[in-house]
Amino acid sequence: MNRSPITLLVLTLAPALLGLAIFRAYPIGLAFYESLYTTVAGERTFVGLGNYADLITDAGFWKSLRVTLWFNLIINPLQVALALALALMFVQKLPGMAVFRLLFLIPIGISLPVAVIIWRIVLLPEGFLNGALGIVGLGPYRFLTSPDFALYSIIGIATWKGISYWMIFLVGGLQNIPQEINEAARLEGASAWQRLWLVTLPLLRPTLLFVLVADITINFLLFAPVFMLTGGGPRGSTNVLMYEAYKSGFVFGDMGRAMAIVVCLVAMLLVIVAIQFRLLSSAPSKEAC
Amino acid sequence: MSPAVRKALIYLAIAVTAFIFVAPLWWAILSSFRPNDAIFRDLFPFTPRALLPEPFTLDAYVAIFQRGFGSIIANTLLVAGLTTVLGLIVNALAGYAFALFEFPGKSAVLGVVVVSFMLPFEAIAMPLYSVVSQLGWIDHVAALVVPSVANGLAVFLFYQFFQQVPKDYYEAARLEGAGWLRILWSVYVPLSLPTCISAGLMLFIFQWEAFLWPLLAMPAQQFKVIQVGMAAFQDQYTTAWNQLFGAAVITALIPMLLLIPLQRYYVQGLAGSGIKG
Amino acid sequence: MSGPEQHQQKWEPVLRPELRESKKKEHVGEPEFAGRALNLKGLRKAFGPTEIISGVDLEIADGELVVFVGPSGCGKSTLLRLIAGLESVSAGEILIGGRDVTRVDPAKRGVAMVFQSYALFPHMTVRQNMGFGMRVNRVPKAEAAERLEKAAALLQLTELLDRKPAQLSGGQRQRVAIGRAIVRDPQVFLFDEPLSNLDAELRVQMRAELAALHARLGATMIYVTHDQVEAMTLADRIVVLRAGKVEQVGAPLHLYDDPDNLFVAGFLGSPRMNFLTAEVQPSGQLRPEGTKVDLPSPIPGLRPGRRVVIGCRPENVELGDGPLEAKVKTVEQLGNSTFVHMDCANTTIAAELHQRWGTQGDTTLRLTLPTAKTQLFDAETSLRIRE
Repeated sequence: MNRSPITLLVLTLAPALLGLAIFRAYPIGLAFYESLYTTVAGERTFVGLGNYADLITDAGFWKSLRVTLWFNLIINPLQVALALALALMFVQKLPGMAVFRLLFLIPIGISLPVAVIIWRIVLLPEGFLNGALGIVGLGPYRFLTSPDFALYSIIGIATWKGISYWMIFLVGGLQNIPQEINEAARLEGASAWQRLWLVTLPLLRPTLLFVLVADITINFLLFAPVFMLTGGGPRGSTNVLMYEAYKSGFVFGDMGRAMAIVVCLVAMLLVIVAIQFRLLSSAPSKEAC
Repeated sequence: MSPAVRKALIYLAIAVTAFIFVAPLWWAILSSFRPNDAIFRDLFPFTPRALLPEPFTLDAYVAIFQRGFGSIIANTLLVAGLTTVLGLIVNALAGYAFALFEFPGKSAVLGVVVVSFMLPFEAIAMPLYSVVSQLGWIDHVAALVVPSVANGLAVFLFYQFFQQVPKDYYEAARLEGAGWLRILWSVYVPLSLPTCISAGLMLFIFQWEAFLWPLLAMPAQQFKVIQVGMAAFQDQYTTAWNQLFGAAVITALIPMLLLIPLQRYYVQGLAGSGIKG
Repeated sequence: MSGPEQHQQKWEPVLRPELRESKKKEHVGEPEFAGRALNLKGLRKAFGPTEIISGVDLEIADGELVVFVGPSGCGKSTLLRLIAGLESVSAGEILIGGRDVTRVDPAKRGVAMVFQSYALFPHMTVRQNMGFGMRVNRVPKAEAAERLEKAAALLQLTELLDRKPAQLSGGQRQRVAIGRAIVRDPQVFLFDEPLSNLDAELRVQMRAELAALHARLGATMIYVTHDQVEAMTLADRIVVLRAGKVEQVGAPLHLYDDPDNLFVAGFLGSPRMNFLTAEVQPSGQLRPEGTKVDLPSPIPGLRPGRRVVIGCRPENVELGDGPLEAKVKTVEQLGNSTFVHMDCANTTIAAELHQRWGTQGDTTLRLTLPTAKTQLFDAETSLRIRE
């Protein structure tokens, strides 16, 4: 059984690489390609950059873009900050923490659509949250049907579901910091707050950056809550670009426009990620000593 | 602030957070055991009875399964199971190859593989639809399984793991005359059980929670996987709250049943790769 | 790169108003200094059901370098951490400079610690590492800078102040860790196995530097190690620990020449002291197990039938004529000395010679354990028999 290494190499790598090439890389190129066409009344015609030009003059596109950017501006720092708080709690060594740690992990087992369904009912005017608020005399609020609240409710739901996942990465990063470093800081007289700010956070920077980038990537393309709860409304207040693209492609049949929006989304995403790396990645030496 | 007070405050914060995570799920579970008209009964004004599944009934679950939820669950198990098995094979092979061989351009290829994980499915879901459509797989199980098999993160997990296996094992086996695949099968695979569990969990849960892609790829309403099925359920039976909750509970139950005993593997898989990533 | 040769420079005293010569006495009962820098009374520490420290009483004088030594798991690191305040005591008291610090915050005890892994902050420069404590405690900038410069000069770190730990060698990192401790101007320095992360050659060099540092600063230092060579060479006094208890305390040579029990006798000295179990004969002589030979006893008047352990260090074993018969197992020739390992009296005996092993193929020989250079221990209690 002496196949030459090259054959073996190709055989073992091929399935995975082929899969990634066909089903991840190729679609990206295809998206760009498709965006150069438009389909009206079943007729597919080449329009070059026409779709993009149309988008620039489309008020609906701009509104959707504003919603998307505002959404991300709020949700990403919020999720990372909360995930950090969660991680700091997760690593505490208090009695009974094992149970609490398990509870912290619950939202990971709950898929986003399930979270959406549950929260939808919880957020009803006659639902659990309004009931609880009623104890202190607040509400009832129309969380999902009021243009003022809908987007923030979605932010809340996505955050509730998402931060446990990011917490795990941050816990990994925290555990990578040797205990002796914390002890040394303690011996030097640093208070818990000073230790957090001067020692822990700087050492956590690479992980925080990773989490932020990964989170932005996911939130930029968020789709399920909008699809299931609000359909982009009320009054377009939750019409993120991903949903706008979906509508174009699968409701109105204009794949070209849909792809153009997706290409724009990905391009914006790349720019944002690049900026972040530039700004935040003066990475400290990762070696502990 | 005395240490005791500080400890108490931390405990309070942890308890409140845990409560926020648990409460909606708890309410969902107990509501699924109530008759539909009793769901909102004890909320205005709020009484402790709102926290108990009372009056208790299994109506919701019976109705769900009568409406065909059982086949939806079976479908999803099939898709997720297939993806996991195939995924473990394909990604482990690639991870093995990366760990054992050197070739020109390896770091570039590896880099691309890892980065591919960072690209969420949503970004390529629509163009992927075109690709799959060209392959003629729309409305076939293949459409759901095949694109999800190759997974950058799983490859990376296996690569990381295999790299750490001391080369001595490999060389000893070579000296005994074993071929590469044989070595993989009888030496590396048994060692890699924890990684298999981590990667397998990841693949399974990913497929179980998939929503957008199955929505697009299976427009014919016959074969539904669970997230899509549940969303459709919600559309159709908008006010059958207890059934919606029941469906949600079942949907959440399977991954939870896996995660609770195996959480360590999941956490380690993510956390470890996050560091290197 | 710096080296021991640079220690020939003249040093200014850094923080102590007077230079204190470290006094390494040959045989010392109690140190003669007046003040007690550190006092441990009835110290106990348990983690859950397991007791790690089972009652330690100790007094350490100002300016002493005391080494805690013992096998893995004996609790020496735990003891150090108790003194530092990184672990809480289960029972007992800790006094530093006469002040009860048992429940005081680690930062306020007047101690500074050099960790085994140095625990330098990887994202800070050397300057920031050393200045961390002062920054956190809001020491005025001018004073902080002055203390930092002096400590840096003392440890030859002045050129490295703006580097990060990753850019330093192991020895340099250790000096930064020491510098961080010096800057705190503590009453007691704590060292947790500082040399175990260094390779053998560097270890020898750093040992000398640490000894010199102690001489310059005249500071009270507690040093934890499992390496008895470090203990012997650095300590003013050694504390031998086993299973959470103090086996013996004293100057190195004192412990070497006059151990209190089997454990201490066997722990110090390499190769280990030879032990022969023997039974006291009616004649008062000692018969080693497995032989029919009677050896004179260094201590007269022992009760016949009593079981004892005869201890004789390898360098004191005399080969040639003698009452005991031995069979050579292995011979280790190191150039300047030779170690001969033999089977004798149901056990292995090692002898150290300062000459080459000429005899080829000789497998049996006779040896003597000179009575004046042997010690006796009770076989039941392991305690030294002294009269």
